[in-house]
Amino acid sequence: MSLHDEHLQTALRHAPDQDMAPSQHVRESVLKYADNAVKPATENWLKRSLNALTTLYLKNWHVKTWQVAGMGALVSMLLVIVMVREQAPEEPVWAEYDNKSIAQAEVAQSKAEAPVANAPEAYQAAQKVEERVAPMREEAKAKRSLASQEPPAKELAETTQIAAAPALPRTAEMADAAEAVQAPEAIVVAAAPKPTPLAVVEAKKSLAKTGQATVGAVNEVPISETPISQALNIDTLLKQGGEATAKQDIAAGNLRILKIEKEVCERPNKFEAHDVDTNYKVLVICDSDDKARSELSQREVNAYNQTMRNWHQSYQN
Amino acid sequence: MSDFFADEELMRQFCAGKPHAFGHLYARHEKPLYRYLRRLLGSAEAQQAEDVFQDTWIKLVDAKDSWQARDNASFKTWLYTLAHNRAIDILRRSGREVSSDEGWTEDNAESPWQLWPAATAQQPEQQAFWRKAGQKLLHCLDALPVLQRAAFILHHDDGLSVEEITLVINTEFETVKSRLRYALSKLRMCMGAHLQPILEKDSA
Repeated sequence: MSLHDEHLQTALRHAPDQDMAPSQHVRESVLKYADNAVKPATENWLKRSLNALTTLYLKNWHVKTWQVAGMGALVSMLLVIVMVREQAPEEPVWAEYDNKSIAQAEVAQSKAEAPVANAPEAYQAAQKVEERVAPMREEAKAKRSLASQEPPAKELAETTQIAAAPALPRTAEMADAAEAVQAPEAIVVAAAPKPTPLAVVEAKKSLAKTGQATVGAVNEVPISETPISQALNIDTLLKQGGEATAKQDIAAGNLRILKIEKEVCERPNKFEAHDVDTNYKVLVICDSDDKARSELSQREVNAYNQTMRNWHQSYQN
Repeated sequence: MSDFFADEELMRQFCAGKPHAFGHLYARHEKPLYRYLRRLLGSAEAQQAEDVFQDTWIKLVDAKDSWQARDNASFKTWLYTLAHNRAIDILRRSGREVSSDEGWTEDNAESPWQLWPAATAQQPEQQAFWRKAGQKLLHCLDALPVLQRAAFILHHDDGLSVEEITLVINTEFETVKSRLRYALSKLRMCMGAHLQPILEKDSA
């Protein structure tokens, strides 16, 4: 008997369950399960491949170093070029920016150089400049006396050069301050021109007339610790009279209030503080203990101060 | 393109981490395996067919490493072995007879086919006959012992050889041959009894 029957096989192929299949849910579940089952294997295969490539690359590293460096440099250069081309503004933008900067600078300069409407403030500015320069000048004077004994050749040469320099600042105060601040000490000793009090007074006169002063210079000058250069002697005050001296100082721009100290005069010709009424600085002058002279001195000082206050009052009005 | 690859090659690719290879395997064996399970489980346990089917594939995925160790293993044999064992478990749990083979004589076992149309007939009326014959055959299969049923289906529907069937149902070669003979004799008798009225009517 044969083990195969074609009739039964044909009947089996025509059976109604011939095309039956499991549901879609079963199919998806099985496929998903199989997919998850080989994912770690896929990852491991990727890891193995990467490790193999890395190993191979490292083995040949010494051969490819110059190639890698060249490629890196090329990529970096391209990156920089792209960044510059993408981010750099066009020329009109820069031109506009430059024009704005120039305009702002001009405005700031014009503001700094603009005439000061308040003349007393101009006088104060001049005084502050003078106060700033004076100690430097004192120091330079002291050193000059030392330098006159053995002047170094180098300093002499520098002196010659600086003396020949054509730099001429706008005002005497500015020139004075510029030289005192910027020049080295050794050079200042030999080269700094000796501004006489008269020159300073003349400069202040011109400043008072033109009203020119830089705001920056005023703000930078310390007030209380700077001695005044124009010492006012009580004898001069008594000789000229308080009112006349005050008028002379007003004309010179020396706006100040006087104060007499007796017995212990530790701060001769030093500014002590500001006057409450006028906000002028108070100059301390020393006087003897002689009673008759003291009364006279006080009278002239009062006259001086009154003249100053009257001028200030009239200026305020 | 996957049709050009043998089952074993696709399975190797799947074990190597290519899930699409498993997809091709699944598509290739989906309907035949499901059909085998439905027929093996019979109408009484047909509702279990999907579960057994799904369990079979999952077990195959889980055991893919053990399959790699078998160099000459046939994927189809392995797949049907897994499915068969799972189905037998279901049948044993349900209390149905599995192993006993009824005694059977081969007396005039081929006589019913003398009046049947040719198996290769393509005429419409003959197609209708074979559809009815197929439907009757499913009833006859239900009456067969499970292992005879399995041997017959594997041999006639899934095209497994006797040697392959011995691997699937895990028995001796001669035992498989014997079971096939028993199955054929019973089915012929069963089918002749069912179709005799139709054949007589058609011949009249």
